[in-house]
Amino acid sequence: MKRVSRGDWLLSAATGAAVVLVLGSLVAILGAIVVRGAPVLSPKFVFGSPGADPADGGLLPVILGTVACTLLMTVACVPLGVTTAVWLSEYAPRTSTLAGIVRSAIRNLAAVPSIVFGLFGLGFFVLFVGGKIDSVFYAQATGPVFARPAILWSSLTLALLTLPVVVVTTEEALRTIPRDVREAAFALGATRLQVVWRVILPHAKSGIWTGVILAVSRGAGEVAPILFTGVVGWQSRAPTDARDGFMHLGNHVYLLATQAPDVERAQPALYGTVVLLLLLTFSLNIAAVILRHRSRAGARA
Amino acid sequence: MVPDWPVVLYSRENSSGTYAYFKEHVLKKADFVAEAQSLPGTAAVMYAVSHDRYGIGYGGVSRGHGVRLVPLVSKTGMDVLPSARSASSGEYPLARPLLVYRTTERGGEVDAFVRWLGERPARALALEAGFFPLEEGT
Amino acid sequence: MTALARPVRGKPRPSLLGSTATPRWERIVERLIAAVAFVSVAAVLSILAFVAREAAPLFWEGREHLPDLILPRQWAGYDAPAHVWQPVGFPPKHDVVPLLIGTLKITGLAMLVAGPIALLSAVYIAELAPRRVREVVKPAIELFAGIPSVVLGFFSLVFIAHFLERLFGLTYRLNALVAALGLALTIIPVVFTVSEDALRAVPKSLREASAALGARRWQTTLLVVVPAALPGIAAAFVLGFGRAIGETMIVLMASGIAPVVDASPVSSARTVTATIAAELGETARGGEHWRVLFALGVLLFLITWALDRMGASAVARLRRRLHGPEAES
Repeated sequence: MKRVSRGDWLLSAATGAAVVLVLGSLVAILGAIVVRGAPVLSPKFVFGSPGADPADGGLLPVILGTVACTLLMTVACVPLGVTTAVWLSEYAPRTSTLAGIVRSAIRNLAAVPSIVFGLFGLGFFVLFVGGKIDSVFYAQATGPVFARPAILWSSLTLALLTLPVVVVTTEEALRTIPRDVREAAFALGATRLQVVWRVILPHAKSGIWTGVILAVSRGAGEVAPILFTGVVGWQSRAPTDARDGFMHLGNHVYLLATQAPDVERAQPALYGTVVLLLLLTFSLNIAAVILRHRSRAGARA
Repeated sequence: MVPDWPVVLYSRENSSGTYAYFKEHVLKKADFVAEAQSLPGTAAVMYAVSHDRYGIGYGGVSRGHGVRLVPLVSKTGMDVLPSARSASSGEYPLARPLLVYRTTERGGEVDAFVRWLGERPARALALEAGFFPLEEGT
Repeated sequence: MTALARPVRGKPRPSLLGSTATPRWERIVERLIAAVAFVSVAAVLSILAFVAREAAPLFWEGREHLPDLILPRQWAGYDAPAHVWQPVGFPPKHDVVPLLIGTLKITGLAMLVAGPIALLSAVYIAELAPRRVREVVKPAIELFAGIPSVVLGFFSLVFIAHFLERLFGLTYRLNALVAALGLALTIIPVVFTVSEDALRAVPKSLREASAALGARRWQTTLLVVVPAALPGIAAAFVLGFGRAIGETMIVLMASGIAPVVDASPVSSARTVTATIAAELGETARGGEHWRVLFALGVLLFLITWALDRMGASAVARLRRRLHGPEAES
């Protein structure tokens, strides 16, 4: 049995302490918030309609707005992301320049700050695309129809922001599929598209789901990209049209923390809203981590 | 005894109408000092002032919970606190109307809404929310 | 039994046997797939183009104001030439230097806090932790990245600000340090993940050689493994820094966002991101203020892009050096 040297002990202590500090602050953050927020979550608080003071809760339209925005985002970004990943892994030659360009674009997209997505959403979707639609189809209207912040534009902005998440996760899943599986299908005479549709995608299903969950979790928690593209502070109902503004849990947290009529009185509602947002984002993240862990363990076995 | 401690100024974000009003009418178009904290809402200002012994800020009186209102000295040398009466008489000089904008389109629900704003129930609601209602007939 | 060992689902139709020619419609579909893959390229280019489009007229409309964006100026009512960010003023003053100082101050502080903690954690997980510990702790640290930044901003605003105030009795309750500590929480997972990958990429043979020469574990770790992984660790810091510069909600809520020009860690600060978020909502389209805010967006885009390129190429170089050219993924 080797004696533990003092240097070894110091190294373990210092690095171990760092890990404890990181995990400790994770637990502290979640604990501090959940302890105060969980008791607030009555059915009336969560599913009620909002009254005059946001401190009284009634988050139904906020939740519906968040869900609608995230769903629209998912509908836009998942097909796009999965198709991109399929092209990268199944069609493009591994060393091709084009694939390199797409890969580096995905990387760049992932590095763009979320507030820049907000500027882009406003400059491109709201003012440019919306403005074009208005000038072609709504030239007679007295005010802007599409050229104004709306849930549609927020969702599309978020879809671009979460695109890299879907592409990277899906491609990783596609790559773990052994070559023999593809070759077996080709040997049976399947065309490439048939291999993709009937063999590759079904095989990569759990990987794709991981990507979807991670994208939803990421997209649902972002506030900066929706600030100027569609979110509104207070309104009494959920959006019913793609051109409506919408309330959002993340933005609601920001507003309650800084702009509630009475900050002191809004504290319980604030904690409750944060817990709901965490339920939507953080718990999905845990699910994705578990799912990914399982599929990786599967790939090793 | 005056403690030797810097006073912390809590201001609003420059996107706010209150900020522009304060700059124009109180600072007489001069700039805020760079150290003034820009907070995103009047509530945040009130919260900050109520948690800071040496803090001072400004904001709509409707949000003035948990802070001490500072009276202004009027031209007659009296201390004046903001109230419906002192604001509308001009004795308390810092007051501004809330404006409702509309597009040029006339008639319909918008007209009805604007009419309703001048009526008794709307004025009661405004009062309840901490604002001073329109005078009758305006 | 795993997903991968499962037999191919759905029997191939007999009619397919022997037919290897790709039908024409399938070629069209293939083209479509390739076209969709390029949406990401189009997205990156149009982000730059459309943000720049709103900023560009700065260079031909009111060109005489351009120097005021970065140079100090003697404004009426000021004692000396100064960098002033007062975009709603008489006249408006758009000197971005206070915002750059605020950004550097907060991100620098955040790196000072997050860097060492993340690196030490990575060393522990990559080199010292038993496998079972690693398998639980690693995903747990990565979970940090799953907390929305608005939640961390709220946490900083309420808890960190309160804690620091109690501890030090600071003049400014919301200050650069509060925001930096909140920001550190978002950088830790980035720096941790990339450094841990870099440490794990160091070949076993180096460790074995070092141990064979009689080195202690700490000597192997600090004098062999960490130096070998250093380019990757540097990349981790660069990537973390890029992430920190772009973060918005935490600094918006916790920094006190005052455009101060000084180096004190406990005075307030105003970052580029918080400025855009706080001001754009009520800014008239096409005005100078609007254009400057979009120009700041272009600046953020370019800085984060450059940092990301640097980080990515450092990681790639490290892989090649440690494992030869074929190891690049």
